[in-house]
Amino acid sequence: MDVFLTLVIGGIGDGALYFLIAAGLTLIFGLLQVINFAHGGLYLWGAYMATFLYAVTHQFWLALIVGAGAGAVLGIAMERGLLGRLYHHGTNQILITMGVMLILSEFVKVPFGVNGLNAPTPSFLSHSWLVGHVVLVEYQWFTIVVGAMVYLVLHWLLRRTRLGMVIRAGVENAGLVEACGIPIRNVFTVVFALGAALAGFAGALAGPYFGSVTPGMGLDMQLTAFIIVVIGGMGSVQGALVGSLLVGVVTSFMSFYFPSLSVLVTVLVMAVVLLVRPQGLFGEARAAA
Amino acid sequence: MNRNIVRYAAAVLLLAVGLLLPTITGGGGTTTLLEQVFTFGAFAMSYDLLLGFTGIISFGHAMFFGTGAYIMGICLVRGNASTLSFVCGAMLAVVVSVMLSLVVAFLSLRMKDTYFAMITLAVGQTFYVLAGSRALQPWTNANDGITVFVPDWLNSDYAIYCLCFLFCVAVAFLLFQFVKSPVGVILKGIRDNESRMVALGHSVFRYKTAAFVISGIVATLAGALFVIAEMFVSTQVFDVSTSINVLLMTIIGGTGTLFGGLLGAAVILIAQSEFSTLAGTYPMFNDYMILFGVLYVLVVLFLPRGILGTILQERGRRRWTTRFLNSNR
Amino acid sequence: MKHVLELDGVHANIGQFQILQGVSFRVPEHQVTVLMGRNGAGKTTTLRTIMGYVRPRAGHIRMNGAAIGDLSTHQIARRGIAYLPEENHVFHRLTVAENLQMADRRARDGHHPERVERMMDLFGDLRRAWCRPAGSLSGGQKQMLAMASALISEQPVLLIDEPSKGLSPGYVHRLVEILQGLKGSRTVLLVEQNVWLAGQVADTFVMLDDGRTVLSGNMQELLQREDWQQQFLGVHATRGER
Ligand SMILES: Nc1ncnc2c1ncn2[C@@H]1O[C@H](COP(=O)(O)OP(=O)(O)OP(=O)(O)O)[C@@H](O)[C@H]1O
Ligand SMILES: [Mg+2]
Repeated sequence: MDVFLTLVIGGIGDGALYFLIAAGLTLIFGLLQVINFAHGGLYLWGAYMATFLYAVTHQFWLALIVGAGAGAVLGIAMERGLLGRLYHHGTNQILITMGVMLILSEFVKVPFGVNGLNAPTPSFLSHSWLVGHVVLVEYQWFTIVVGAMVYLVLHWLLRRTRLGMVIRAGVENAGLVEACGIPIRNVFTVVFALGAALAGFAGALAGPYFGSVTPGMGLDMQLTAFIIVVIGGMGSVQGALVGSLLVGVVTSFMSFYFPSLSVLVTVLVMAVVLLVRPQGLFGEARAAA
Repeated sequence: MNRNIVRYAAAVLLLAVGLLLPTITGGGGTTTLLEQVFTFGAFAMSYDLLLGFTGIISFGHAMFFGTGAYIMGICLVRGNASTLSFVCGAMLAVVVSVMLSLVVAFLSLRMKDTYFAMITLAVGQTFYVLAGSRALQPWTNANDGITVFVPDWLNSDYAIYCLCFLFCVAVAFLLFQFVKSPVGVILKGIRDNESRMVALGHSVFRYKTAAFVISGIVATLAGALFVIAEMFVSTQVFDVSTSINVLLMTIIGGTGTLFGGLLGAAVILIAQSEFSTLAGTYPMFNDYMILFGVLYVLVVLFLPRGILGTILQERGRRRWTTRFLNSNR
Repeated sequence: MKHVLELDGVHANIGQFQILQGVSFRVPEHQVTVLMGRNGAGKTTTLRTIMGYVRPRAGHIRMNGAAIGDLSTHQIARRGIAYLPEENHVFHRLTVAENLQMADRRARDGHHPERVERMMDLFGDLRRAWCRPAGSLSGGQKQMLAMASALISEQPVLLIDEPSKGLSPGYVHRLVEILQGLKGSRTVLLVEQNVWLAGQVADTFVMLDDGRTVLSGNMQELLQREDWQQQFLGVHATRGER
């Protein structure tokens, strides 16, 4: 039972982190119809910038903000500089974003080296408690709370604000939004920046969560996020949440009981979902066709 | 008639030059580089069948290349480098690649092309992790990789070179026939206007699957040759960078030109080896992957046809392609 | 008389296909102009070109004297044009209320400005469906919602593409009343196949055929000229080569 609880909490913690990446990915896809193959690169740079800044200033909150900011800045540069001219050209979009991923993952090695950096947890978040036989790690709970808050804020943004209404309208029919006098291209940029900021923010959180940052963490996280959005359904924030928790918890159990199979299992879950419901758990059939 | 004679003479000459090339350039490092160019050239041509002729992007093509390399490596090690183990390795590689490509195609090709790119990336990375995992260590030697010995008749630089060269020529010839065939024409139709091909009643999924299977078989065999040429295989063959490299070779050479893959392989591999040499004196050249990344983005943006594609276009596309791609049906 | 919209030799392509090959007409202020022509003549494409979805390859489009051919769609909309497309004219996943908010740039969340009230008075059905997603409305109700969306922003110019499609006779009469009510205050460019309806509301007509303007003039004249109707609307005639 204690093992069970520990594994569930660990899985939810991982899932909270995954959610931040997957949510950005799925938001961007929903509106722009672009899968951002550089999303892991934004996460990576968020992680490195935050870790570096924390090492220098010991300002945890500032580091989080800078991580998100790094993601947003890179995201805006990407959307304005590269993607803007490639809408309606799906193949080249995929190729370009992957190229950016390559550059981002390689470039991080230049200033920071190939071996990664230590990412200490700030002292005010590094407690842990023993309840029964279950270890409660403060930073894990912090991550879970942050993930939940981000979900609620996103929900509020999409359902309760005018911007959210415009985004939902644009997901469905971008042309009609323009006819309402709204510059949809700016909305694209805002959404891309938002998704990118979430990725950078997740990177900033992930440093202390895993204890270190490495050049390979971006691609690893991106792959997990891809599997999650395929499972949850591309374009759906709910789907990203459920997929993240599912993958988080399943991986957590598998790596405890069958460590050698844990890689396979997420891919297997994805395969099963694709067979039973190709558009994903919360996806709409339209997106898959 | 006359033209046919010229064509055969050219082919024989090409073969002769190819087979004699190592004696001209001198052996050692150059021969190894040429072996790599031909194996990766075949790999890149198989990739072009997907990207250039069917219009779908795979970020996990290394899963075939690596599977071929590992199967051949393991067979040779278990079979004490006998000729039989070599043959078994090649056959097993083909069988496994067909099964693998069918499974991946069934999962991902029914949906949008973005799914295919994402899923191949994820599945490819799973192979990378599996090859390095402890569980498979008895077979794969985990992260240490396998050192391979080859059958006696292959135990010289020149023999391996000839094998790689002939393999590449055979692949080029067969793929060329394939893209000219009616199926190849339909594939190009899918690339250019998928919905029209659906409207014409073609099962797009089936044709894409066929392209993927064939491409997978070639990539797997290229991987099998690669392990023979290198006499060593490690998880690197499954790395995403291997998939990206072959993609880069294809687009630099020219997507949809088939032979561009070989050209691209030559460009990239020679550049890589030059950079590694330079890095000895100037450490900054260790970061040449960034350059490749930038090059890659620039090519997609500004030279979307790649080298060969641009040349063909310059030479007056119509005249050239009619002779080049549609001749001698 | 002042002309709000002027098209002059407009050519436009969709992909490689040449769709418009010389469209020229003028839309007088505060009148209803009807754009007619058989299926595939290029009426919808003309409206989409005015709205900037399709870039004109040649020719000029002017609004109140200023060229708008190079502007993007949202800029054109902000110049004061409301556009009601032929298809996909409502946001299916947004509620009726949200659809109206989207259309009314000056509306704010939460409260119902009096303009919304006026729309509710015009289209009583919508009031009951206020909180439902527009996708759950019937075809005719969607058409009503789209019409309300086009009207609510009180833009001076309206481009309306076949609003009578799929409406029952009762609603068609309502539509006629609404359109007649717009005369004198708004400028309307209407695409309409129904000659009777067009006759009820339009002052002038423009006839398109095969991507070109072939006729234009007084609506009453068109009503009297059965031969024009035959020739260009092809109600009975399917004379091959046209
Ligand atoms: N996306 C497209 N691709 C190719 N051809 C198109 C496209 N859209 C429209 N067309 C063609 O352009 C021509 C004009 O189309 P348009 O929709 O403007 O006609 P319309 O006059 O509005 O017809 P209807 O009365 O049926 O609405 C038609 O021949 C149509 O086939
Ligand atoms: Mg129409």
